[in-house]
Amino acid sequence: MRWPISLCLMLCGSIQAAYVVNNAGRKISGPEISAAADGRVTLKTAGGQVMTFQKGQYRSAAADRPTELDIAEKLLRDGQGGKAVPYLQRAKEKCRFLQWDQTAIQLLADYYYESGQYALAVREYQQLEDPSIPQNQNRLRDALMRSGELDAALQVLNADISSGSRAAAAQAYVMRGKLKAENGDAAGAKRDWMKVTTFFKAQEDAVTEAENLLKENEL
Amino acid sequence: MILRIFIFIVLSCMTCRPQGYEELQDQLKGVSDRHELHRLKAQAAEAGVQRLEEQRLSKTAEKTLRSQVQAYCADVQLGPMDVWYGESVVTWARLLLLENRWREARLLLLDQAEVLQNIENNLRANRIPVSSVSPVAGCRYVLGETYRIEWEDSRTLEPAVEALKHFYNVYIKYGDGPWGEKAQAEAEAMQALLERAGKQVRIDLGPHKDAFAANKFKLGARLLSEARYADAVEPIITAINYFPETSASVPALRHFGVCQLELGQEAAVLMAAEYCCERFAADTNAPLAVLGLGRRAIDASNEALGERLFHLYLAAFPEHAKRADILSWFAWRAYQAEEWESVPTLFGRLESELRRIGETGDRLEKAVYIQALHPPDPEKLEAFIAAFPASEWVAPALREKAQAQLLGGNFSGAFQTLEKLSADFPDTDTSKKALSGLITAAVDAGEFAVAEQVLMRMLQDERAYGYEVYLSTGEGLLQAEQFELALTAFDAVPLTAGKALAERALFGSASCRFGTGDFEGCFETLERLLAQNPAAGQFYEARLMQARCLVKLGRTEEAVRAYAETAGSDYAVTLEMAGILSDPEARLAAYQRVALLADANEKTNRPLIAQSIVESLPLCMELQKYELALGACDQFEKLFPEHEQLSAVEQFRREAERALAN
Repeated sequence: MRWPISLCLMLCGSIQAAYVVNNAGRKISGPEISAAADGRVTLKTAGGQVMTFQKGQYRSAAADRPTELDIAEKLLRDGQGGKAVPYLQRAKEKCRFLQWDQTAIQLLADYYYESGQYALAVREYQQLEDPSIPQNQNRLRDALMRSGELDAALQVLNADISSGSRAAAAQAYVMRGKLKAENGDAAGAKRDWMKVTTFFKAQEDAVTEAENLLKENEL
Repeated sequence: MILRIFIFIVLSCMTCRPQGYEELQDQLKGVSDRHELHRLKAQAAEAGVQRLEEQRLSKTAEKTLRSQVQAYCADVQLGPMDVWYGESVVTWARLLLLENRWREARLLLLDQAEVLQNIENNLRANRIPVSSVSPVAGCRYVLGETYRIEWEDSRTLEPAVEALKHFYNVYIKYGDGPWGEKAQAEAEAMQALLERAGKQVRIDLGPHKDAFAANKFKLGARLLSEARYADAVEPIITAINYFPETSASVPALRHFGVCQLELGQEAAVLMAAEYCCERFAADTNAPLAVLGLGRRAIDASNEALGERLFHLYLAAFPEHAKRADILSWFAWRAYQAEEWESVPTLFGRLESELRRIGETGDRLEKAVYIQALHPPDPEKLEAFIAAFPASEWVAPALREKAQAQLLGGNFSGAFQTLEKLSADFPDTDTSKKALSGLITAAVDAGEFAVAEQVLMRMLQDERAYGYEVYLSTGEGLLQAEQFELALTAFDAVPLTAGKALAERALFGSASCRFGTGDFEGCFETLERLLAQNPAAGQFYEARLMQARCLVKLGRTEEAVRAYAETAGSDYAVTLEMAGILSDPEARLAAYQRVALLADANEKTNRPLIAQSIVESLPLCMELQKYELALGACDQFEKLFPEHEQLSAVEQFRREAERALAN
C-alpha cells in the first residue's frame, strides 16, 4: 500500500530553532520543520508562515537534535550497540535531510563495521552525503571487500586510483592488491603494492603497509 | 641564430666528453680557428689532468704532461672569459691538488670564483642549462676537495664541515652534471664522517629543493642515454616522488620502464606501465609511453611482455590514435601463425576500430575479407562483396563463397556463384580454376558425391572450362584414389586435344584403370599412348605400368621384357622384376645386380641392397653357391650391422659354412 506523500512528511516539533539556509546564504528559523521523501523541506516560522523549499533550493536544513541520538550514543558508549540501532534508525528517519540523519547514519555505519556486519555497514556508508572523509572511504572499501561485493569494491578502488587524491590512490592500491591476492593473482597484487612503495613515498602509512604485505607474500 | 649555434656547440662539447688526450692532441694539430683552438686546448688540458689523476706515468712522462697542461691552461686563460676559461681554471686547480698544493688551489679558486659565477650567470641568461656545464660546479667540487685534504692533514672538523657544504652544494645544484654525481658520493662520505664524530648534520635544501628534484629527472635521462640503467633508477624514482603528477611524470615513468626492461625486471616494467595507464590516463604522453615500452620489449625479443603492454594500452586508451596499428599487429600475427580460432575475433576488433575512426581503405577491406574467410561463410563473403564491389578480393571471395556453398550442400547456389564469377571475371584464372578447385576441395573434405556433382556439371559444358581444368581435376581425384570419377574427368579430354594434353589424359586414364583392377584396359590405354607417341615423356612410367599389368594378367615373359626396357639403372624396378623371374639362376643374377652395382652411399639404394641380399641367400643355397652366399653375408653384415634381418643372414652364413666344411 502506498501512503500519500502528505503522510510521509515527518514532523519534528522544535523547542529550539530549526532552520533552513537558502541558496543565497540566508538562514531562516522556525519552530517546526519537516522533510518529504523527495527532499522537499517545509519550515513553519515563528510567525506561522509555512515555507516550502524544493530540493536544490536550499543549501542546508536542520531540525533540533533528536533525543534518540543522545540515547543511542550513551548505549554505544556502554557497549550496547545492538540496543542503540533502533534509536539510530528512528533518528535517521525522523531527521531525514535535516542534518541529524547524517550523524545517525555515521554512528550506524561505524557500529555495523566495527561489529563485523559489513553488508549493513556498506549500505550506511553509501548513504553519507560527504564521501570525502578518509576513514569512511577506507571503511567503505574494506566493508565492500569483506561483504563479498568484489565488483563494487573494485570499481570504487579503480576510481580512487585513477582520480582520487594521492593518499586515496595509495590506499586503493594497497587494498586492490589484497583483493587480487585473495583471488589468486599474486603477481598483480605484488605490482600494486610495488606501485605504492615506488611511486607513493610521501604516503608513508600506505608505504609501510605495502612493504609489510610484500614481505608477507614473498615466495 | 649565432647564439643558438654557440649554445649547441657548447652543450655538445660539454656533454659529449670525455675525449681522449691523444685524440684531442691530434685534433689540435689540424685546427687554425681561434675559437676552436681555445676550446680544444681547454679540453686537452682537462683530459691531461684526468690522465694524471687516474694513471701512473713515468716521471718524465708525468713532468711533460704537467707542463703541457699548464701551457694549455695558460693559453686558454689569455682568451675570452667563457666556459672554457672557467674549465681551465678548474683544471689548473686540479693540477695543484695533484701536487698537494691545496692551499694554492683554494686561493686560485676563491680568487676566480666571482669570474666563474659571472660565466654561469651569462650561461643562465642565455638559457643554457647551467647544471651540466657551469664551471662553478667543478670549482666548488675542487674547493671541497681542498677542505677535505685539509681535514685529513689537520683532523679538525671545521674544514670537514666546509668540504661537506661545497660537496652538497654541487650535488644539489648541479646534480645532473658530471660533477654532481661525484659530489654526491663525497658529500655522503663527509656527512658520515661528521656524524661519526658526534656532529648532527641537517641538510636544508631551501630554495634549491625544487631544482634539485628537477635535476634528478635530467640526471635519470642522462644516465639512461648513457645506458647506465641501474644508476638511472634511483634519480628517476626520487624525481617522480618529488613531482608525482606533473608533465614530466610520464616521460620519467617511461624512462623508469626502459631501465627496468634493460635490467630484466619485467614486473617493474609492467608496474610502471600500469601506473601510467591507471593514474595518467588523461595525459597525452601516457599511451605513447606504454606503446614505446611495448615496442622496446618486442625489439628486445621479449614478445610476451610486449604483448602484455599492448593489451594494457588497448584496455586503457579506448580512443587513442594508434589503436588500429596495435590491433592490426595482433590480428596479422595470429594470421601468420595460423591461429584460426582467434583470427576472426582479432580482425573483428580491428574492423570495429577502423570503422570507429572512419577508415575505409585497404586495411578495412582485408579485415572484413579475412573474417568472412575464416571459416568461409557465404553470407559474410556476400556482405564483403556488397561492401567492397571494386576490391581485388571480390573474385577470390566469389570462389570461396561457391566452395563454402558447395560444401554446405547448396549446389545450385554454388553454381550460381560460379556463373557470376565467370561472368564478372571472365579473364581471371580464378574463375577457370574455380570448379576444379571446388572438386579438389570436395575430395579433400571427403565429399565425393559433391565432387561428382561438380564434375558432371562441368561436363555439361566442356568448352567452358578447357582441358587443363579436366586434367587437373582428374589428377586431383586420382591422388585421392577416386579412380572412377577421375576416369570420367580424363576421358573428357579427347586425343585431338594436343599431344601433351592427350598424353596426360591417357596416362591418367590408364592409372585409373589400374587402380580399379582393369589391367587389360590399362594395358590397352598405355598401348594407345605409346603408339601415338613412342618417345613420350612418360615412356618409362607407361612401360613399367604395362609390366605390372602383364604380371597381373599372368603374361610373365612379356612382363619381363617390359621390365627390362625400363629397369636400366633403376634398381627398384630390377628388384621388382627379379620377383617374377621363374629361373633361379636368372633371379639370383638380378638380385646380385642390385646388391653389387647399386651405390650403397645413396640413401634410397640401401633398403634395395638389403632386400636383394636377403632374397638372394636362399637362392645361393638352393644353387649350392656357398662361396657366393658367404660373400653376400659379409657384404650385408658390413653394410647393415644393426639390420633386423641380421640374424636370418647369420643363419644362412652358418648353413653355408657347414655346407662348405662338408
